[in-house]
Amino acid sequence: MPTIKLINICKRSNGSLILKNINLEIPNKSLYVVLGPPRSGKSALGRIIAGLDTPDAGRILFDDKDVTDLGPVERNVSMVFQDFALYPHLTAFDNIASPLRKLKLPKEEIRKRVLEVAEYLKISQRLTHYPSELSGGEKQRVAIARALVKGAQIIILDEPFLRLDLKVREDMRAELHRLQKDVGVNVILLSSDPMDAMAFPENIAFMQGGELVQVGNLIELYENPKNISVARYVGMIEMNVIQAKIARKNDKRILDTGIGEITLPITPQLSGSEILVGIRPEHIHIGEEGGHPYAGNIFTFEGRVKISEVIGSETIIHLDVGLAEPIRILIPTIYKKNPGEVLRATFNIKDVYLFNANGQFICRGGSILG
Amino acid sequence: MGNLYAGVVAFLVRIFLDKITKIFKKGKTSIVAVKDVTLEIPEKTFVGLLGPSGCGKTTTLRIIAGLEKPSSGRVYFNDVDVTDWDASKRNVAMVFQFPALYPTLSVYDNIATPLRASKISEQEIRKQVLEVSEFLGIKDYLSEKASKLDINLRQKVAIAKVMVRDPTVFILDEPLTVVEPKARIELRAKLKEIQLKLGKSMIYVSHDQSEVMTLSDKIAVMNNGEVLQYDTPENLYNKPRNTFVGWFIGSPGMNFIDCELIEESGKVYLTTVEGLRYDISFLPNIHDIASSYRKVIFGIRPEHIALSSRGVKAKCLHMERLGNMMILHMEAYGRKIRAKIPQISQIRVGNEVYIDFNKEKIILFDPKTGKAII
Repeated sequence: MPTIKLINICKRSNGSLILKNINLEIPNKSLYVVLGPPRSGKSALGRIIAGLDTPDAGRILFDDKDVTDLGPVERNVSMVFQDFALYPHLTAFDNIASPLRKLKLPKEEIRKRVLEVAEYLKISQRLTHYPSELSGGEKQRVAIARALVKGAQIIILDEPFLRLDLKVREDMRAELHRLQKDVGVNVILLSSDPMDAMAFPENIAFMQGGELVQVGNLIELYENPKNISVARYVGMIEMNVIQAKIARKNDKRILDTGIGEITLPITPQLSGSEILVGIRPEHIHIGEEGGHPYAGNIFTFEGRVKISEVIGSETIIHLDVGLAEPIRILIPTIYKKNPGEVLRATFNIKDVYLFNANGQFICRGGSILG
Repeated sequence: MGNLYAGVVAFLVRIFLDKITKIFKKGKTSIVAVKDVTLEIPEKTFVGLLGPSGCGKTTTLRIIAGLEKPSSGRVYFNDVDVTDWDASKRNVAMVFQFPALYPTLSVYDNIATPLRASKISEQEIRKQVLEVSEFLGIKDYLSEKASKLDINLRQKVAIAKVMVRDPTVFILDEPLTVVEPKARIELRAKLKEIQLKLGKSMIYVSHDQSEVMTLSDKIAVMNNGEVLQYDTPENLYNKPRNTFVGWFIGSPGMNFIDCELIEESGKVYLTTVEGLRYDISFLPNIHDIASSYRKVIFGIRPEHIALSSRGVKAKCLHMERLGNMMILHMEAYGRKIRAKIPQISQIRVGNEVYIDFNKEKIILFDPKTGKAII
C-alpha cells in the first residue's frame, strides 16, 4: 500500500535504452494504469517496480524507503502475468496455497486463508479444478487470489485483459475496483488497451518509446494531450487526424483540410505551413440524426460508408472521404449502413485539436474561435 | 464451375438445419454440444453464430460444412438432404483462423490451384486470379511465396483462394482473430463487399460480438448448445428475448433486477424487499402481466438510464470514462446498476443521484425461464 517513487530510472536491454530517465510517483492505495503501445517500456517498468529486474540507474522508494536492491518478496509485490503463470499440475487450491506453503504455515491456517480469498474472488466452486479446466477469467481470478493470499501490498497486472472475452473483461474490471477499495492494495495495470484507461480513469501514465510522455487523469489526457500520440491513443476510438495547409484567403487565414476549409477568426501561434487537425470520432455527428446538438462554427463534409462497425452498444461509421484514411464517426447506438451509402457529417470547430507538424499539441478549436 | 452438382450448387443456396443435435462421447460421459437446433439460412444472407466459448457455434458450423455429422437431425441445401455428403461435395468455401495455404507456392499458384482442378483454360485462370487479387489488394504480391507474407496478407490470400472457386456458401471460423486491428477493419469491409458482390451466403463464427454484429444480417446467439435468439443485430439489441441475450449483446450488457409486481389503486409498481418502488403503469398490458406474474426480472440497458431530479435513488460506486460518455457504476437498494450517460464532471464517487429509465426500453423477463414477457 505504499507510495511508490521512481527516481531517474534507466534500463538498457540488448544495448538499447528501454527506459529513459523515468520519474514517477504512484500514490498509495491507488489503481494506477501505465498505458502505452506494445514495446513502449511498460513491462520493463513493471518488472523494476516488482523487483524482478534492477535498473541500470535510478532509485525506487516505497514510502521513502529505498527498495532498489530488494527482491520481490522483501518488497511484498506480486506480479500477475498475461498468461497467468499458474502451475498446470496443481489444482486451483494448490496454486493459491503455493506461496503459503513456502512460508511453512500450518495446514489449517493455509486452508482458512485460501478459502477466504477464493470466496472473495468467487472461485470457491472451482478450487478442485486444474488450470486447463478453468476459463480465462477463472484463471485470472486464481492468479489474483495467489497474489492476495500472501498479503502482497502491491499487485502489478501485466496486460490482464488481453486474453479475456469482452464480457469477462467487464466483470474483471469491476472486480479490480472492488478489490482495490476493499483490500486497499496498490493495483498497477500495465496495459496497451485504451479501454483500461477509461475503466480506471483516476491515475494514468502514458509511455512511448521508453519515455514517460504524460501523467494525469483521463480528462487531462483526453482534453489536453501533450502530443498526437497521446491524443490518438487515449480515447474510446482513435482520433481522426487530417493533414492541413495553412493558407491565406481574402485577408483571412484558413486551414485547407482537403475535405473543406476551416476559417480561423483568430490566428493561433503557428509556424510553417503544415498543421494537423484532430477530431475525435465521438465529436462527429451524422446529418440525418437531427443535426448538430449545439450551434456554432460547424464544419460539414460528405463521404461514402466503407463499413459500419458495431462495437458493443455503439457503431463506428468508417466514412471514405477521399483522404488516405477513412474518417471514423462514433454513433451512440446500433446504426447499420450499407457500404457505399453517402452520408453527410458535421463537427463543431470548437471540438478540434490542432497539432504542429511535429505532432506537438498547440490548442483546441475553441481557443482559435475566441 | 458448380455444374457437377446442378440443382444444388449452380444456384443460390438456402440452408436449412432441421432439429440438429450433436453429442460427443468422451469416455463414459457424453457432452451435448448442439441441442435441437433448427435454423434457416436464406440465400444471399450474412449469418453470424455468436456465443461464449463452448456454446456449440463451431460444432454447428462444422455440421453445415460437412466436417462433422450430426447425431440426429438433417441438413438441407435447397431442399436436398446433404446430411451424408462430405465437405467437398457440398462445395463450401472455408476460411479458418489460421490461413491454410501451400507455403512453398507463390500467391498466384495458391489462388490458381482450385481453378486448375476444375480444368479451365490457363488464360481464364489468369483472368480470374488477377480479378480477385485486384479486388483484395494483393496484386503486388502474386509472385511472392505464401510463406514470405505477413498474417494479414496470408489471410487475404486464403480468402481469394476460396472466392475463385465459386462455392455454394462461405463458412468462416474466427477468420480475423489473428489479423492485426487495422487490417481487421479493412478485411471486415472486404468480406461484406464480397458477400454483397457475389450474392452468396456467408456463415461466420466468432466470440467477438462486434465482429458478428458488424457483418451479419442475422445472428444466432448460442449458449449451452442451444440457439436462444435468431434475429437482426438491431433486434438482439433492442428486443432481447431472454436475459442471456440482453447481457451478452451490448457493452456493458443489460442491467437486471429481481422484482415483485405490486398492484395498488390502479397502478402497478416494481418493488424489491430493500425498498425499491417504481411505477411502471405506463407499460402496455401491464395489468395483464401483473395478474399472471408476481415476480419479474426488470431489464434495462445502461444507455437507457438517465440522471434525473426524481426517480430511483442510487449511490455512485465508481465510474469509467469513455471520452464524452461515462459509465456510472451505482448501487440502488442493494442492487448494482450501470448507466451509460454523457460525461458530467460534477459527479463524484460516493454521491447520491436519482436515476430514471427510458420508458420505451424497459423489458420484463420471467424469472423462471429467463424469457422476455411480451
